[in-house]
Amino acid sequence: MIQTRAPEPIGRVVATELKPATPHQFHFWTATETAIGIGAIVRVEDGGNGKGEGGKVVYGVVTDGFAYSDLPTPLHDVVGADGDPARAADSPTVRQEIRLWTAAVLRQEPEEPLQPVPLGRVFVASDADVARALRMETYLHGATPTAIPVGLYTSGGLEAPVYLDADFLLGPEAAHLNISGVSGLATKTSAVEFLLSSIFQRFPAHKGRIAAVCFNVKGPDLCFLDQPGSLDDADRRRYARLGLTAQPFARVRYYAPFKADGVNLNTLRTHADLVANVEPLVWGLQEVLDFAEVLLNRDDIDAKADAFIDFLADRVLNKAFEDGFGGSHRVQTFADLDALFRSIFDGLELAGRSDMWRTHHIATMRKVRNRLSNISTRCKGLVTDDGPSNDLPWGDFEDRAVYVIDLANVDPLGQDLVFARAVSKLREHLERRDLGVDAVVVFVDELNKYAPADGPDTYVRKMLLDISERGRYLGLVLFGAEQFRSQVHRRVVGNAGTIVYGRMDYDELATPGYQVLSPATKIKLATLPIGELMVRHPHFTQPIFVQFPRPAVLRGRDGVERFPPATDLPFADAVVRQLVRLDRGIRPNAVHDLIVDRSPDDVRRALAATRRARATEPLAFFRKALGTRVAAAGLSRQREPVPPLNPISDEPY
Amino acid sequence: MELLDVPLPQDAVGQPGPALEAARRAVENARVALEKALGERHVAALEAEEWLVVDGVLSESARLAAHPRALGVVKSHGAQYFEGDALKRALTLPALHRTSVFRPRGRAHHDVCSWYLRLWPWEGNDLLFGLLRIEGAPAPAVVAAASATSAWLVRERAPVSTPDARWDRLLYPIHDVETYLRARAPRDLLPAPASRLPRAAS
Repeated sequence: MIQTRAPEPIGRVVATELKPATPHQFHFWTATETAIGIGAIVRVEDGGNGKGEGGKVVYGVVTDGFAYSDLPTPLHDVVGADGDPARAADSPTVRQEIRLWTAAVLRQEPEEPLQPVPLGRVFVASDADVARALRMETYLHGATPTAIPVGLYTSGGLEAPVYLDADFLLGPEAAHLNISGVSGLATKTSAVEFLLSSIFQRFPAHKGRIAAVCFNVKGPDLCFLDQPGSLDDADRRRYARLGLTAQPFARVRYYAPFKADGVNLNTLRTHADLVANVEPLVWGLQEVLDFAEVLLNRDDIDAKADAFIDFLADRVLNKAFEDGFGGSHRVQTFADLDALFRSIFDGLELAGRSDMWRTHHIATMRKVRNRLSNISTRCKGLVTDDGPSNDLPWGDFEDRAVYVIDLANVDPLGQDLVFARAVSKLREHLERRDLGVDAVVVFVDELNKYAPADGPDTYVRKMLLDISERGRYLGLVLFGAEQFRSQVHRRVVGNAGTIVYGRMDYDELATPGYQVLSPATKIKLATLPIGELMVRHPHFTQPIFVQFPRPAVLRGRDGVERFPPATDLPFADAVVRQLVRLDRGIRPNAVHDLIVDRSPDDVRRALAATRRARATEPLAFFRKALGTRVAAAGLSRQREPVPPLNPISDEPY
Repeated sequence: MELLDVPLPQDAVGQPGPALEAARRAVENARVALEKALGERHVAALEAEEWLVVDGVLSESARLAAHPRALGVVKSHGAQYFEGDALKRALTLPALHRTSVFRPRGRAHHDVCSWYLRLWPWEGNDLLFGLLRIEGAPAPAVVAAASATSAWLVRERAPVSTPDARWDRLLYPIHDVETYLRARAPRDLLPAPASRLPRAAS
């Protein structure tokens, strides 16, 4: 039989009149040389035999540390060294010194009656202690475990896995995760990538299917999630300790709008080896009009504009419509809508009638026309004037798939529009339970931009508030990241069940939201190394520091070096490349012959139709979609672009 | 713990004051005996490069007084060994200076050599401020090493033994031992610094 040595205590609880032990906090001393540090988890035993038998057991996390000597004032040390710092080190006898630590109670056993921490022996926590201290045993073991590894608690050579409860991370009990930290330390995005991988590997089967939608709003951070990254031995050991496989995401779909030319994708993931799973994101009038409110700024928000937009959506769009001046319209595209507007304005002018058309004032109509024209100009490439749309696979979401929408180079207005529409569609389908998955994690970086603590009450912010407060019932889970948590709307961060902190800025830590943290914890947060986080979770009564391995995916910067983006091609060559993506056997000259002398709009439409149809013979389909070849002189559909009436929304009314 | 019979004068029987004083003296004598025994035990076990510094006189013990690497550090100066100019010279010794080595006569049970050593400037304080008397074995090697030994003891000025009131003469290692013993002593043996009534936390 193997005899195991009883653990040695490393300290003892002390309580004085000035520093008493309470039910939530206690103090203990240790030897000067100790493995204990800020964030360490300890176990206090009241009597017993070192195995927790017969007494109260208290688990705590160290929140502050003090070193004391018997020196009454610094002056005495100066006197002792004759005022010479060099001589101070010559003292033959080392002054007595002790280490005193303050710990916050994580858990008491038994829980009742809740009493001050006993003056017992202090032990370093073991694996099992960490699990009990963080109340993880309730969801780590049992018939339907819901534990999601988030990282390793490390202290004094111990590496204990820390788990989050899926019911409290992804709903329905609580949901949402907020992560904040300074930029440039590869913490926020890396942590989310690792956590998503962890969720995908350990999402409980009884909770169904899950997917993630990530908005890439800057750089190439999320552009290579399906490519393996470099890991060192320490990372692999951490993955093994957490019971996870270090692998990139198996199913990733990328969506990016086109550039203004309508054929080159507006993303950094355009390398020939990777572009196969990048789908263009193209929306038409129908998609934009549903979210026209996003386009209106605070000055525009009035009942009249709203009413006119509703009128367009309900009575005009996709319907045969008489304009009252003899014209008949069927509005399906921005071009059709502009034709309708021109017809109405011309009609009003020729008829010499008042400024009213069907109870709508001409100024309101001009404003709405201005905004809609504005989006088609500023977000040319995302919004097609008169072509078919190409969207995320609503209703066909795959289990454990990541859908990345790359908006890094899109106009802010377009970013808002994409964000609003994508999230609204997710919500709509989740409410109907026909998305294809049961839960969706939406990852949004730069949350302080979309849900700022102050500033105008935008449609996007209202939507984020709505997700934060009601998303958990639907399975719509927000993973938000930002540099400064204090600058994000308090209801958005307040509703996040799990809060993660990377390295924090000192100024940020000085804001009121961090007053609950001890000065030592703040210092640790301000100096956190890469790969270490502080986690707050509903089951943890105190924040816990954990280390997580690097995500097993290619980092954005490395990805751009290994897979440099393809240069923008001339229109014809870009069309060839799009078609070759569908069929590598297509010869460029055949495409060139087809599109020469054809209007770019015709070509774009045919290309979009071919892409959407996913025909077995793309070139043949493209030829058919392009129609019979017509002479250049006959291309009468060339539409003059409609200049915006006022590019900036400060038109006086 | 050991129980002792402490004899009392006939007229003091039944009076708590003389009884307490007699008990204090008995405890004091026991302590001195213990310290002496402890010192002798340790001096017997000293390695070639080790020294033993004793708080107080060496001359109470023949073994300590004869050992070439035992030093007695005397802080209180109840006995006076000089007169006239020699006394003046000893009591106005500048800081970081020592007197020449002398043979103390009088109460000493065993022969030792001795010298005065000033740790801190006395100017602005009393004449005994920072003044130590060092005792060593009456051997030529001890006398020859008096300056080096003094330099070593002077280095013990730091760390300062504050907040002890005798910090100017109390070497820090001795202060450290006292602090340890005080922490270990039963509470009733220590003088209460203030009222023993419990105070409410502020």
